[in-house]
Amino acid sequence: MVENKELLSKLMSDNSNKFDSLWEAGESDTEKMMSASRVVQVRYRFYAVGVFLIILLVFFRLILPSIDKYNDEKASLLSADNELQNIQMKENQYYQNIWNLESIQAKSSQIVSCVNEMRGCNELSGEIRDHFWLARSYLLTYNINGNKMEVNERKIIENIDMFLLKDDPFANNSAVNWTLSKISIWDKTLENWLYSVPIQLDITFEDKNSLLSFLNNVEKYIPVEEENRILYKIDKITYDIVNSDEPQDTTIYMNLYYYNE
Amino acid sequence: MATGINVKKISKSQKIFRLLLVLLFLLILVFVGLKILTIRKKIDLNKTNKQIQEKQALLDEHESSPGYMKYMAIKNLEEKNQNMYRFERIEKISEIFDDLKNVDESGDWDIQLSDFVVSLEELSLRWTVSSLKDLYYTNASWKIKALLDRFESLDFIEKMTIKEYEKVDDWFEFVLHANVIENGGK
Repeated sequence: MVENKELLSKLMSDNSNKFDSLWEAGESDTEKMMSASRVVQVRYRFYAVGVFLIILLVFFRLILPSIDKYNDEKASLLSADNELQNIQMKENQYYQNIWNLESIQAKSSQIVSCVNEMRGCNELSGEIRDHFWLARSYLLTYNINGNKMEVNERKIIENIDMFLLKDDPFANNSAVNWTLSKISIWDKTLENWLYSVPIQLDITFEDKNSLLSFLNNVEKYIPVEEENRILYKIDKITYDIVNSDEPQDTTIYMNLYYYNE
Repeated sequence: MATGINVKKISKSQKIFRLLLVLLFLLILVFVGLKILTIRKKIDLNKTNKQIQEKQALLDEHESSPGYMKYMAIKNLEEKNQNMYRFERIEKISEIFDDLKNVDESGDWDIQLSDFVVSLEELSLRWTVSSLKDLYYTNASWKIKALLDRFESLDFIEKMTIKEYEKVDDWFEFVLHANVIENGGK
């Protein structure tokens, strides 16, 4: 009986040591795993922080400047496109102008007939008819620079006497229903490639019709001979229309225009 | 149990790390995309600028020809000037004046012509009547039409105003102001 007790006690003591050693062994692996996982966790946290910093760097140092640069290029392209469109519009306008100019040059005699005699107006293109006064002005503008005088006043006086002051400028012996008392010619000025010469005419008109006849010569008709053509634009005219049946002294301020080619 | 929590924590860190990597990758893609787009815009811009330069040079060359410069100078002059010429204006004003005179068909009223001022924009004239009744009385059977109605029926004027009707001796005197409709309503 005593022997059995001793044996039992020995066995228990052996088992107890074995369990302890086993328990101790298990605890040590878990700790190792835990510490390994902590290391991994810390490493990934470290990596994550690193990547996050790289993201911030990429975003602020690369992406944002790239967006700005892209927007700048986009705005520049838009502005260049607009500029190109403007130039294309100018180009179209240029071709339109050239077409008008060539039409005026080609149809100059028809324009003169249409203006002076109301003949052949239907033969003119819609473009010319729409810009009729431009065509007239173009056909009237010639170079009248003088050799020793600033402007060729011989030509101006001849134009006034032979064309402007005639009741019918196309008739050889036309009646004159007004009296010219003074011609003043001032210095020329250059504006937008055109020379302008201010002219003042003091004229006594017999009645309203004689005034209208004079105005037609200045503003409407075109001399048939090219060398007699001069472009005038009236600036100011004082006329009492109420007393249009009576002779009136009238002062006409106008500008003569010419182009020096 | 403690081991399970640790494993979960590790996988969470890895997940965040992987997400950040994906984000970084996407950002790099965005950056590359932006670079490509910027380069393409730059190429387009250079092309457009080249086109602008070529077209402008051609246009400058064309526009500097003397015939064209003369045409443009005259075109500018025409655009600066009024659309209507003096001979047309004076004819219109004359027509307006004749129409106003025709208002006084019966000759019962007296127009003070010296105070007649007219342009293509506005007119004013002084008028005298023997009685205020002349201004408002209308009788169709007697073919009498009030003077103010006659003014109203003129198609070339608008915004008529008469500020005062003043008695001078046996007459009532007033000044009519009105705007003239474009082209004299003709």
